[in-house]
Amino acid sequence: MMHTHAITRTNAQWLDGLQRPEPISDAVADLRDFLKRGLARTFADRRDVDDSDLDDFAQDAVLRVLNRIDSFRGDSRFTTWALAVGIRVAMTAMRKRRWGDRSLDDLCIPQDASSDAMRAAPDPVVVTARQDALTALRASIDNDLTPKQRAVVLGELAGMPTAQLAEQLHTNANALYKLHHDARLRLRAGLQQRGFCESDVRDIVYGSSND
Amino acid sequence: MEPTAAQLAELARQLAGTAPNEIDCEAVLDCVAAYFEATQSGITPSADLAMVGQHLEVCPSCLEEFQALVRASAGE
Repeated sequence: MMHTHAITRTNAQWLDGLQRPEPISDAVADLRDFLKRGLARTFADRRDVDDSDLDDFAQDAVLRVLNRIDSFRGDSRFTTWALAVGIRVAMTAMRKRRWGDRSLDDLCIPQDASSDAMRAAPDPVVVTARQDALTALRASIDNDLTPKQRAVVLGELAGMPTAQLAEQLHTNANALYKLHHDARLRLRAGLQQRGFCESDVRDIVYGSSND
Repeated sequence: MEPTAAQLAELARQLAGTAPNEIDCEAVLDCVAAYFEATQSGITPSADLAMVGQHLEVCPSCLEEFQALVRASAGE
């Protein structure tokens, strides 16, 4: 049964219904229905997500919402916050499913992949400048990062999900983010040491302002 | 593994958006709803919430989830 009053509750009413040792069953059911509808819109164009998946995602999302309800700051609608939590749950599950059991050692990237950034810059001078910046970035990855930082950067570039990456590096998501942040700061410094300023880096992607 | 030029370009985009102080993905989850509602209402996010926007520039996963939140909220 789909409950129709799910989004008419106030934040206080949601919290009153859910923030108890034994949450009110109507509130839990409303939350599950609301999350399932939202996730259905999120995955509307995905053929690899069926109704059974949506049920599972919604159920797991309800549990996650209840587990972290104390972190709701009250500066948004409760439903928006719960939906964000539900999306995190569902996306994490989908990324894990897509990634499978591949490990960091299995990462394989096609070497002949061409770059849109390169194709978008027919001017040989611009192309050369960007190639130089990319070469410097490769050198910085190889020489300026710790092995763990390099693994995080390369794993993230290959699309490896955070949960799997953290598991393989025997760390957690927050520590992984710090590793990635520290790596980015080192790479920026490494580029500067190789004669490239921040605008050069941006030009790799967006093109020079003088193009 | 050797990153492609396209991947290096994506990394360069992230480097351009890197700030000395950033919030992590867990912290983003706590305040992305408020950031979303502020941006949907045309309100300039507070300095606190602006850090969510900065995070979205450098974190493809959180950006993907934010875009999903936009889609999921479209029918509410």
